[in-house]
Amino acid sequence: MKRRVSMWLGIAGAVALWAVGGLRADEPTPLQTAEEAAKKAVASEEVMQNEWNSREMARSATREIARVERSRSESAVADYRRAIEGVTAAEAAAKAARAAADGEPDAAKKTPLVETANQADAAVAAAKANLEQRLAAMHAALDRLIEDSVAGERAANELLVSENGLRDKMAESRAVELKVLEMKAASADAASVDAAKRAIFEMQAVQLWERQLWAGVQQGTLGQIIEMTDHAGRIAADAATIEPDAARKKTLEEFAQRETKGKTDAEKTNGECAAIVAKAISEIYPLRAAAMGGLTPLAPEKWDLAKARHLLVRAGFGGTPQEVKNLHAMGLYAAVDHLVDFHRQAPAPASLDVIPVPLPDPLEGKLRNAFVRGQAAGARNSIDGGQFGALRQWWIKRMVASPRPLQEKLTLFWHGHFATQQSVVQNTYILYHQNQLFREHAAGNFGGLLYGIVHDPVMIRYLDNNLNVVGHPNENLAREIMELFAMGVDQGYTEHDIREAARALTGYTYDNATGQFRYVLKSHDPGDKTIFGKTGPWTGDDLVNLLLEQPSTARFISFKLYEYFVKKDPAPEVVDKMATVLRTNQYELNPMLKNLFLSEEFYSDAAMGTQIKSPVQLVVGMLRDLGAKEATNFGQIDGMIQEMGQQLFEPPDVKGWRYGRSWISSNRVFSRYNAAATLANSVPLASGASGVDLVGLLATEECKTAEDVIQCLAKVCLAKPLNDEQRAKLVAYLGQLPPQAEWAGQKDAINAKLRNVLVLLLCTPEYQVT
Amino acid sequence: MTSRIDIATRRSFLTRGLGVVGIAAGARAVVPDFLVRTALAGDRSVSDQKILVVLQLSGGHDGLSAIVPYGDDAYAKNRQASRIPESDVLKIDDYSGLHPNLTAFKNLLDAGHFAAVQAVGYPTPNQSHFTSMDIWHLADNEARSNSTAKESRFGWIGRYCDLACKDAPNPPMAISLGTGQTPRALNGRLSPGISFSQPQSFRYLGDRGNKERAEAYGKMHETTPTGRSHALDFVTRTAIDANAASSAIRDLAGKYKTAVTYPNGSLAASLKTVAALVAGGLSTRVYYVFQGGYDTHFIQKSRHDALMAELGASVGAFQQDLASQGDAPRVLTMTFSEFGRRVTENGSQGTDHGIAGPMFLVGPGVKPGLHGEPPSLEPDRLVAGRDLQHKIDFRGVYAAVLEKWLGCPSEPVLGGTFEPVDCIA
Repeated sequence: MKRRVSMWLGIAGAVALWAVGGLRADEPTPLQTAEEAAKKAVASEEVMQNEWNSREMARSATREIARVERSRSESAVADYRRAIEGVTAAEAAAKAARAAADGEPDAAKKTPLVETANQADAAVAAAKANLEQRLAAMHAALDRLIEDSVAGERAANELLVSENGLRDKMAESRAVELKVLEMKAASADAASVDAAKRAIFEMQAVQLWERQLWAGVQQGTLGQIIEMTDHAGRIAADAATIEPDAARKKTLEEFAQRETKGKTDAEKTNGECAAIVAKAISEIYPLRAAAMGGLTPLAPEKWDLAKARHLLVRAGFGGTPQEVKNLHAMGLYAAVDHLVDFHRQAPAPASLDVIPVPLPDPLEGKLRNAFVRGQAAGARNSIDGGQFGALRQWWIKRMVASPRPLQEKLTLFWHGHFATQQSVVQNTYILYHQNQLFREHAAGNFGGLLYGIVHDPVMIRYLDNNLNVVGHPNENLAREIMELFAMGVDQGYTEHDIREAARALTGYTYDNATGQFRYVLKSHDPGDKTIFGKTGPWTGDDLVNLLLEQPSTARFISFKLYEYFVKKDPAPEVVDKMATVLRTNQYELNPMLKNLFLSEEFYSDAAMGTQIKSPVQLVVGMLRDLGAKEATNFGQIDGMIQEMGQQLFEPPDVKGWRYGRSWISSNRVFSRYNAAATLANSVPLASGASGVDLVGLLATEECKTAEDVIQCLAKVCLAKPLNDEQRAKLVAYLGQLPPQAEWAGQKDAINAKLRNVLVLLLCTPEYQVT
Repeated sequence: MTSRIDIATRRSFLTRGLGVVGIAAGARAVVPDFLVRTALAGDRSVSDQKILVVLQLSGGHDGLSAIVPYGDDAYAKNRQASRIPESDVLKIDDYSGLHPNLTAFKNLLDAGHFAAVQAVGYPTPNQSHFTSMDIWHLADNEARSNSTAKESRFGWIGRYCDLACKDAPNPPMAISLGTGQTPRALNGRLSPGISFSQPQSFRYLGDRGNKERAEAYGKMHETTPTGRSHALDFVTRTAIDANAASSAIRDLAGKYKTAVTYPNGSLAASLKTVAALVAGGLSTRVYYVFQGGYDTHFIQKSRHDALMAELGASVGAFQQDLASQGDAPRVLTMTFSEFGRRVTENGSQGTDHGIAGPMFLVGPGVKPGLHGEPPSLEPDRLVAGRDLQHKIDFRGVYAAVLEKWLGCPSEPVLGGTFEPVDCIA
């Protein structure tokens, strides 16, 4: 409930701006009247809520009493049943003893038998006495059970009524609050009309949220009624079968029927509540999207396997048919949450976190340098350079195996966005730490990333900011931070802003020995700078804030994320919506990414199957799609990705990779085909096998005919179905296969045959897009 | 003009052979090598068309250190760390001279085979590498903002190729060497251009010598399905070109023999391959090569000296090779860089991004010497008091090359009328 109250305070703050034109000062405006009503409604809500709380506590007590009573009654019924059995057994024993005594002709032998029979008769009498006691105890327990159950159920039902009342009361308050918002929206000026509309959507979402919340609370109450009536009903029905007294038997039977009906009624209401929860959740997402000013979510019923695959490929790298089915089974909203809230998944296995060693001791370098000029630097470079390949392979392995694929995909995005090159920086150790910065903030806050990058030794070195000192400004970082990292080229800054920003960044350098950021006060220009029309003694930290204030920053980041995840050339209004979400959430990326991955836009025909795969996407996606995450040849894989034009930690320049068509050239068509063919046929796996295991992969699919096999492989590999002509060619090439049940017995031969046709599917223009 | 028709005819033959005819003929899915050779590399008697080699100097070339205004006091005043002493300059006249490492250019100039157009740029200059490079590639000032710089926009060479052979789809009329990535300038409606880093690795290996699989691969590539996205269409067109050109290019580059010794480095290697393909009679009209490393913000002189040495020696060897093969008269080499550099040095013995710079033209087809005025170093004639003002629009040089060298009207290619600079003989 807190959330709603704090929102209310926010609204109250804004109300001060309301104009009172046309009305006498002492007469309240309609808005003021509505606001007063809303305030009262919220206050009376709190009274009702207290009442509900006390009812809830009383209900808890009666529920506990009834529970104890039920278990007592259950034991009493069982005791009485055992007593009946005791009487029966004693009577049988007495009858047998008496018969034995009567049938004994020998007087001497007869005497002890008669004694035994007499004792048995006494035991029967004792058992009967016990039976009477047990019956009385059972009657007492059942009387209390009936009484307490009826009271408990009454309390629970009263609670339900109270919950309904409170639910309706709160709905009424929301309606009053909505009215306030609607009045404000109607009179808002052009600048704030969007914000006012968003507040309405937010309130509608709160309305729905509360409705489903109450339905959930009622489900809890109803669950207890069901438990209570079910249990008490069963005890009473059971007791009725052994109750000797006809009147009591009838009472018990009636009580059992009453409980059964109570249970049925509660179950019905419970089902209605579950439907309210499910419906509200599907309505809340679109409202929340609208409240943030975001893109319209896809209707949940349009969620299908092809879209699940699309989501897994774009918001990750891809997955096997089974993984696609699992994601689809979650439903659209849960699937998006599953991928974007990746912090809830286990991190990549610790074995992947091999940290490159830092550079050799700086003192050692200095000493050596004094004697053999240049040698120390050479030694440092060769130690560091030796780790570079390992660093690339470490990352590719993470992308292939991590249970948080979106985290790696975003890390790759930020690496391309804040692009730096190892060939310039020549320090693997600090690059590793930069990479972890991107990973840590991958779906976090863009402000955090921007702050991190002006303090990042890699970027400082790459863009010469270590040379940017007071009196000798170097504009390199200042220019790129505006053009490429935050605002976008020519989007609201001037050459003057760049020169002033360069002054703000003076003194931001790094320590070459430790690879740590350093702020050197004597190198910093302390004078006033005017950036975006604001004057002050700005530092690099201030520059980050000034950049975040620029509307073009949210738009540019949205534009770039859209192009990375959806398609090239987004419509300006789509970018604006994403930017609004980003700004309303103070540059938190998570809500914006969720809004994007839920959106109709993301699943449109123009987006699905139209993205040219980057080399990393091609290879990592292929290994994930074909279930070859356990690959062991990451050195070779790294080489293939480079051959296709994407060396990690070595984008072409500070603008990063261009994506899209830039990946494709006649030369790289062959690089891509050749790499795919090699991996499919011979990727070495941790199991010792080599080549992708298609028999295993297709085990979850039904492949009766060669046609089925081609269809399945096409579904695994391609975003869109093959056309008939291509399919016919592949079916003809594949030829006859034994029934799928026999594949396991001749796995190698079948795999070889399937891989032949797989390679043809991979070496097509169609496989280059997703 | 006859040569252009020849190309079109041969190209449409090739295309039919690859695509449509492949289905009609049925039996042969993979285009036999001889067909590709016939189509791409006709016999020498018809391969007389003019060829343009574009050499991109990436990073922003400091023109003042290439054509040195040694006769201007302002030069020595503005340049301390990067100044080239008058005694080292290869003098052209009493104001300008070439960088001392450009002896090959000086020799070519003396032979009448070298020209330089001075102070080239464009209105409202942009000092971003990427945006300015896009402007040169697209020959379009509007390339600068995110919203209009769409990736599907075509480059000026791509537009030339579209125009010069509009009857023949998919012609590898333009080839880029030295990086696997195709420069935007080459992208046209009909073809995205061919590009490769090394000719010998320019091939499909997935068939592993298996004839059946090779045939199936060919069959999979002979169709052009309908209802496809632009991205897929682009990949398909590139793949068709690649499959068609692969064996011809490898053969020509592999069997090439020359007596000329090229220097080391990727620029020389690329130019040597160009010489091989030209000598082999490939119908390609435009070759595109690169030399990077010109972004000299930091300690410029030693780096720039090395770049000039590589540039002079590589282009010198290339011209010598072309001459010995008899192809020099039909080849013109043109250099450009996205911008020049600032007149004053920065605090790191380097120079920051500037505006105007020179373009070099090499080959017997040039009108030799310096064209246009040298850029003024007077403070009040600099842009914002810092940068060289451009005097010639680069599209005027493009127009000259298109009209006077390639024999193609420049207006439809450049999307406007630009007065051709009088630098072609």
